[in-house]
Amino acid sequence: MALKQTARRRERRGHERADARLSMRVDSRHEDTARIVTESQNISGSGVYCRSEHYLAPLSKVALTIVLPSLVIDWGPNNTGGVTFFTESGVVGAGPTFSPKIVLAAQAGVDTDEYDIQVIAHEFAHYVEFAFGRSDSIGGPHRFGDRLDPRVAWSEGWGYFWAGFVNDDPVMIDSFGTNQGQASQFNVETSFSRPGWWSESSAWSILWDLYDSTNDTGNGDNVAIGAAPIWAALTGGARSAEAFTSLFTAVSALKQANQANATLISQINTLVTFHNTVAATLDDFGSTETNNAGFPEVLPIYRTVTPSATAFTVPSNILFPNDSQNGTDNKLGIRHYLRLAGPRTVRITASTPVSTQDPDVVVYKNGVQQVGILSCTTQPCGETGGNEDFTANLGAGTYVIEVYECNNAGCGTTGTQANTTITMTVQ
Amino acid sequence: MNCHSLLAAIVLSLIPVASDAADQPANKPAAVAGMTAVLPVNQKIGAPVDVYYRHMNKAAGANDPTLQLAFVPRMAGNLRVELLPDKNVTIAYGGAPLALQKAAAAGVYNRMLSVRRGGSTPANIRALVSIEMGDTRFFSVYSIPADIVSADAARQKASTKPTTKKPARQL
Repeated sequence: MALKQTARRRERRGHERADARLSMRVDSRHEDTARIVTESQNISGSGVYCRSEHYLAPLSKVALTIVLPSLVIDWGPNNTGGVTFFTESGVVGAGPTFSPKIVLAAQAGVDTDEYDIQVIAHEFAHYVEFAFGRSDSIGGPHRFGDRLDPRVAWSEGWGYFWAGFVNDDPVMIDSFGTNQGQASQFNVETSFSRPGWWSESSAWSILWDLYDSTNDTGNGDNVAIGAAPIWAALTGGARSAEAFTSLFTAVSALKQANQANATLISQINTLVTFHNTVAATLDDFGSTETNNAGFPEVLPIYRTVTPSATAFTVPSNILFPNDSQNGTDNKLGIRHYLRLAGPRTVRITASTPVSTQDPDVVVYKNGVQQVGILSCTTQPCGETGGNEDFTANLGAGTYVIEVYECNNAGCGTTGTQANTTITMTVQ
Repeated sequence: MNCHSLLAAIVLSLIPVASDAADQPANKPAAVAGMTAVLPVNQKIGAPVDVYYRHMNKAAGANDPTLQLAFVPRMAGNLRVELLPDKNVTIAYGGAPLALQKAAAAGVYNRMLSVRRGGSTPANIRALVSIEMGDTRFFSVYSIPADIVSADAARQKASTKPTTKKPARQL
């Protein structure tokens, strides 16, 4: 604390604050508590200026193996108000490197994060997810109540759950405005909207109810398993899932790991069902899901494709224009998933009825984009403008194919977003 | 628009306009037709409020052009808007915080501003928009071009921004 106060005094004297580098170590002096100490340094290496013990986790909650990849926290004085995010591909130093990075807001009077430990912990959760589990989230803007791509919904919900968990407080607070005098706040136990597998608030609420010892049965919560089983599921079964990471892979892994405990399985089913998600028969792919958010085209979440010469169509629609006022790219309905079993070699084509539209097809295995197995007439495969036509040499296992119209997904060149139908063949 | 009519517009602007239901898929409300939607700069979880703007005085270089803002909550709650101009722009009229108890979901709440840019540099006005629903409150930060010149500059900047097939992952 003394060091932190010194640092703040120094800032107030007008010293420019350089980007910070975070290091962590485990302080195991205490018998029952793993104390993770963070030390933030000037990027210039002029010395430690902030040392804190933000993340306290009793060993009974989480068994951590602390081998953390380096993390840069950019808390630069010019960071725009409101801009706070985690990215896995920050550019550090002289050349481009693949490095996780957290950017924190630092605009006095608009939005700063220096007093917002839940915000910092949320971004840190994305880093933890990156380092220990797996995240297939595509990121992007998200507002309370948005119906999101399930990868995004899960990752953001995880972030807020983690922030509540490590701070031992379910209330998220984020200061903003003149003199940082206002604050947003919500409670991961009680705040949720439009529950479903596309909802980040369902994700945080389910995780918190699984973890906490307080049962609020009105919300389907009659379960208290602590953090260890959640951690085991996310770093175990969910990490190796063939499907994209989502509520489905997390709950499926948790149930799989505890299948001998019928009472617990029943409790988990009750909780997940409360959030309008089919639980009893749930699998990684959400194969038995019946909640279509009001649009039949949303289901199945993964369409199983059997190679043939017969063409089929995949929509890329702005189903929720109100949600999409906040950006279309990560909202439910824009991107659709196909499921294809290997080994086999297939030719994949995709086209749209309008020449200015740009269908994109991306092949994944266990959440990792597959490039080396593709051969195209033009390179890079799946990344060229216009229609798609490439051959994929699939090995054994299940592949996930993501399909979307590029302008709708926020990556196009025409900027024109419109509902469209993508015609595909897989043969 | 003279000062009297501008003041009248400010007073009248706080009346909600009936619009589409918040939870129904729909195009933007008719009351904001012709206005430009603005995305928040936040990557954090944001307030469920849409923000639109329109520059009323189209003539480039017009003195004290008028900026119309519209705020459309997607959930009912207490709506609050704080407007913070850049250092090279001032708000002559309409810059006071907007605070509305029980704003309606999908209601359209307008605010007319008279802005004065200090130099030739494009300028923005930041809108800190929050909505409180019971013990829950969310906020978003928006950056809105102060006048037509600033909007043109922003559009030009956006059109020259390199596009990538894969948007950056920012979580």
